[in-house]
Order: sequence, then structure tokens, then C-alpha cells
Amino acid sequence: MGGIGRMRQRISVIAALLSAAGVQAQAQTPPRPPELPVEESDVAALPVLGPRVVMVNTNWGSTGARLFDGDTGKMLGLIHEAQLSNVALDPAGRYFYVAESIWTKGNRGTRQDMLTVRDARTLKVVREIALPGRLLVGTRKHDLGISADGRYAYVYDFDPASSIIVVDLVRSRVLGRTEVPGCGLSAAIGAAASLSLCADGALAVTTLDARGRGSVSRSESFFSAENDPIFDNFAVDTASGAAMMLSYTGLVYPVDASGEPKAPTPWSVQEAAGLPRASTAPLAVNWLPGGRQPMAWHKPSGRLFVLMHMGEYWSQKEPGTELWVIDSATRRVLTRKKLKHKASFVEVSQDAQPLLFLNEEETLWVLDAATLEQKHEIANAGGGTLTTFGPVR
Amino acid sequence: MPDHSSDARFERLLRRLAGHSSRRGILARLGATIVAAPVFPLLPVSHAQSGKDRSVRGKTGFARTAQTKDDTQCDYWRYCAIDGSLCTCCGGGVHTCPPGTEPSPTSWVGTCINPDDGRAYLIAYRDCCGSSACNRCNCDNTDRATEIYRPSTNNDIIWCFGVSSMEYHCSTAVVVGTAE
Amino acid sequence: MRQGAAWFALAAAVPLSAAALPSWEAPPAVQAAARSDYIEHCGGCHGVAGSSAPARVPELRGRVGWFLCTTEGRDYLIRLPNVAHAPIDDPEALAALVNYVVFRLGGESAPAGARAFDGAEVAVLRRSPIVRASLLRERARLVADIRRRCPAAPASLADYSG
Repeated sequence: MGGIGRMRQRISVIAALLSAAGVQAQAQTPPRPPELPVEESDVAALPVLGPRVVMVNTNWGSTGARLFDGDTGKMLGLIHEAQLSNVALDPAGRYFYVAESIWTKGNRGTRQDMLTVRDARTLKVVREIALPGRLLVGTRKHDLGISADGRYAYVYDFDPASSIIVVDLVRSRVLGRTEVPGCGLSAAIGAAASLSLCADGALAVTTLDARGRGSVSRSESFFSAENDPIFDNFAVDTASGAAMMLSYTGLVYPVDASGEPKAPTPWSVQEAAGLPRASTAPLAVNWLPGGRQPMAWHKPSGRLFVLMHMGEYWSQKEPGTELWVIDSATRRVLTRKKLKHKASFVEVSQDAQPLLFLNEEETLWVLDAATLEQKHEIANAGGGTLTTFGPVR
Repeated sequence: MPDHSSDARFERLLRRLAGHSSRRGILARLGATIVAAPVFPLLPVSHAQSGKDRSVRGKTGFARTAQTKDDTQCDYWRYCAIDGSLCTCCGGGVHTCPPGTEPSPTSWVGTCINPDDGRAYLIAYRDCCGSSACNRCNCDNTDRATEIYRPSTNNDIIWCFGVSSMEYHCSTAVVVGTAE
Repeated sequence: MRQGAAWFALAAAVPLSAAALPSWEAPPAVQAAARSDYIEHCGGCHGVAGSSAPARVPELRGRVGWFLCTTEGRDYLIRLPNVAHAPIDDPEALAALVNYVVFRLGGESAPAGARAFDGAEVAVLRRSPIVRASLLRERARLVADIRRRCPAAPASLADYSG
């Protein structure tokens, strides 16, 4: 409500008091409420987004990236997007970037891929940068990366050859395309690099030169993309290049992608709980991670929050029935919390008293990440990947 | 795509066992690896010719409980790794696109066991493209399905490359050979 | 491959006209496994019969054999990351898959006298996959070279697809 509105409200309150005094004098007449003030339509603006805001990116069905204030549980707004889009925030908080694909005649005609730049307060389109393509896929976070300094965007494309499209966000133009043969994804690392995972079980880092041209360096192979893959939706700290990755059997890979990519040494979430490692063998029933975004990383405390379910191997999309809170430094499970509702997506805010966000079937739950007490249950919140506005994506 | 996990009866049975039977319940709580006793006999899997062991594919929770009668259900045998709407519920068939859509020339290929003959079949999960989402009979089965950096076995990608419209409508499961 | 060697010993005993022999012969079981491996690991994108036009996927049908015109082109077929990293550990089985692609899907496109791949060659080549260069540029360079050396190679080989 604007200043004029507030003033009107005050005047009406005074008027109401005065008329109440009048009622006393004219005994029998019933009191008549004051006339409502005349209103004008206006438009809200988003607040500056703090670390306790969460974005639910519904990129299939009722599309839109919905923003919720984790403290109040209130929806703040929706960033428009076409189906199967990616949405990212400029690290300085000035813009939202939407990588999206539309056709000139709805579902047919000329395909148009673009990075739509929207003002982070008004959500109005500031500009559009045409893209030479992008992959259409649901519920992935790392198909669009924004460099730590906000200068470059990395758009993953598979057409079906694998490449990363590099966009200069300062000059609003595509610089080029770097192929990442045999690899996929484009998570931003530092000011001028992008992280991919590869089908031979390696990491690949694409580093840009001064002209924005990429060269690829790779680690040794260290996991099996066929038999125990790492989930696409890993957690990465863009500024430092540190990442926490999780495999289908529950191996945690602490990755340092700040320099030459090196093969990380994994540890097991089940062993962190005093249990044997999960098995990929048929008929073996284990506690396994699962869902679409099965792990969140609170970087300041080193805590991991993992969605776990009981089942046989190849149940990697099963939503979690338990939440395991793990100290990544000591590699110990601190808490195993039975969830009242299953969840497929988990994210955590990066502040000192963090909030935990869980999502399943269009409902968003907000929990205190320390006590795991529920603060809000938000219906019709949309369903999809969760992002908080801190350094960890 | 909506999450509709469908692998079904056996998983539910396992969970019920884990939840209600006391000894299993304790094991489940502790999370020790337990071995599920097969409720259905394990099926013979033909791999005589090349000597490759496909038997492991017959032992997934999906394969053990799959049926061969109703192709509009998520537990129909050849849907062992399908993600999306079944075209059989949308005016099409297991290898037939509904009216107004076209099959993509590209797809990804999974391996499913047919319980009637015990053979491992190669199944092309071919999307029908060009109309808005059918959104009926949504299934999401995950046998040997992996992530997008290994696209040849990913079922979340919109496999509508090479079609005039990339709008996803539904998915078919086409037998394209036997897994030798 | 022991099985293959045994079959060759058998085949040698059967008189066949050398000219009539395709450049890749293998026991039916090996061929069936190679076809099955192709469909499972490659056929989704490239098409069950080696064509998925008009998708932007290199056409194999009636075309891929031309890569055997040069040594670099030949090596390229194994050094492609999705071939080199294919989840087929046995180099003989991977050789059979590529032979199926070149000599069956490729039809008549392999140059006369082109040699089939064997496990030893594949085992060496798959250790140096092309992962740091642009596959599209590498392919364009190789095709230009192939067309210089084998003038009969069709211009369509330069097309990425279709």
C-alpha cells in the first residue's frame, strides 16, 4: 500500500472516531460504518531477496518460478518462464536470468531459444539474448550457471552433441560454444569456469580465456555413470568451486573444482550412520538416497541434508521417507528424522540459523534446519527444483 | 514431469514388511542390508548365445512384479524405465503415436524382461511429439535409467530431436530387438 | 576372441570367393551380439538402422564406411567418446559393434579391401578418446581429408546429418 493509501486510512480512522462521538449524542440511531476509501490498482515490487527466500522452479505443468519468504511462508511473486526453463539469479541480485525455449506459433513454427533477463525487483523484461539452442529437460539445476561475478552465463546444450553456450551478460551476447564431448551440465565455478560430469565417470572443467573461449580439462574417471551415477542435482559453491555430490548408492563425493579437476575420495552416508554401504545387487534392500534433488549442503556448518528411502537399487527417484542430517567433517549422521510427508526435493538456506525446504507434489514445507520443527506447510507452491539465494546453488 | 513412481506392488510390500513385522521392522529401522525373498519365481533369462548375463535385469523389483496383460498400467513389462504419459492412454498404442502427433526419430533404449518368455528385450522409449502434454497414465520407472550427462540412458530428456515440433505429448515403448 | 578364432579356422576350410566376402565376417552369435549392443548403446540417437534424419545426428547408413578411407578417419570411429567410453569392457565385443556399424549399417560405403577392426586395435585407440577438442571441427577436418583422398566419397558426408 502506498503513502496516499496510508494517509487515507488514517483520515478514515479519525473520521470513525468523530462519528462514534456523534452516536453518543444522537442516542437511538444505529452506528453506520464509515465509507471505504477509494482504491487504485498498483503493482508490488519484490524485496531485496535475502538468504531465507526460496525459489520453487516448476518447469512442467503450471510453469513459473515461485518465490516464498521462508520466515513468513508467504509467496512473494512468480518469475514467468516457458516450459522446461532454467531460472537463475544474478549473484549481485540485480536480475533473474531465464533460459527458455518457445515457438513462434505456440507449439510449432520457428523455435526461439533465449536468455530472458528480468529485473530482480519488478520482474520486467530488461532484455533478451538469443541463444543458438539449449537442452529441453525437466528438474535440472545445473543446465544454467551464472559466474560468481555475474559476467557469464553457461547454458548447457545437447542437440544431441554436448556443448556449453557461453553468454557475456555484460555485453548481452553469445560468445560461442565449447563442446564437452561425452560430458553434460554447466554449473558455474568461480569467475570464468564451468563444471560438468562425464559419462566415463570423470569431472570436466571448461575454463574461459580472456576472449571467452573455453578449453576443457578433465579428472581421472572416479565413478560409474552406468552402475552408480552421481545425481545431476548436486550442491556447488560457485565462488570457491567446492561441491558436494551424491551417488545413487549414497556415496558422497566432496569435489574441489577450483583448479585442475581432481578425482575426489568418496564416503558412504550409510557408514556415516553406522550401517553397511548400500548394495547395487538385486534383491538387496538398503537405505538409499532418492528423489530429484536429494541432498542439500549448508556450507557454513558443513551439514548435509539427505532424502533417504528404503528400497532396492534402481529406485533413485523414490522420494525420501527420512531426512538424514550429516556432519560432512566428521562423516557422522547426527539425526535421522522420519518425515511426515515424503519429499523429492530438499534445499537449505546458507545463513547462520538456516531454514530447510522440502517439496513434493506441489507442497512446500519450511523447517528449522537445526530442530527440524516444521514452520510452514505451503499448499499449491508448485513442484520442482529448489534454490536459495546464497552462494550455494 | 510429475513423480508417479509405479514400481509398485513389491516395493509397497517391502515397505509394509519393513513397517509392520517386528523383526524386519527393526532391521529396516537400523537400515541393515536385508535381502528380499522373491515372491515370484525368478524368471529364466535367455542369454545363451553371447554368454552375457542379463539375469540381473530379471531380478529388479520392477521385473519381478511386471505383468503382460494391460499396457495402460505402469507395471506393464516393457515400461521398466519409462518416464511420462503412456501413449496407450492417449489414443495411441505401445508403438503407435496418438493422432496429431509424430514419433521422434531419436529415443533412448532400455532393456526390459518379458515375463512370458523370459527374454530381455531392447525397448526404445520413443516420445510422440507435437501436441500438448497428454498427462494421463503418468509413469516414472527407473530400471537402469541414469543422469543427463549419460544421455543414452536418461528418461527426463525430451526425446523429440528431429521432429517438427518438440512439444512432448506421450511416450511409447517399442520393441527394437532382443538383448543378446 | 577365442570363439571368433575358432570360427575363422572353420571358415578357412570352406572355399569361398574372396571377392564375394564382405570385409567383416563373424559367427552369427557375434554378429547378433554386435547388433544388439549397437541398438542398446547407439541406436537411440543414431536410429536402429543407422539413420535418424532429420535429427542432427550423423547418418551412419550407407555412409560411415568412408571414414575407413584414412587412418585418422578410422581411428576417429573408436576415439569418439561415446564409443571409447561405451560400457562394453571387452575390446573384441566393442570391435564387433564398430564392425557392425561400418560393414553392415555402412553398407557399401567402406572402401574396397578395408580391414575390419580387431580387439587389439580398439583396446589401444579407446585409451585416447577425443575429449578436449571440438568433435564437430574434428569431423569436418577429417571429412575434408577423406574427400580429397577418396574422391568418390559423397558430398553429403560433410553434412552433420540427413
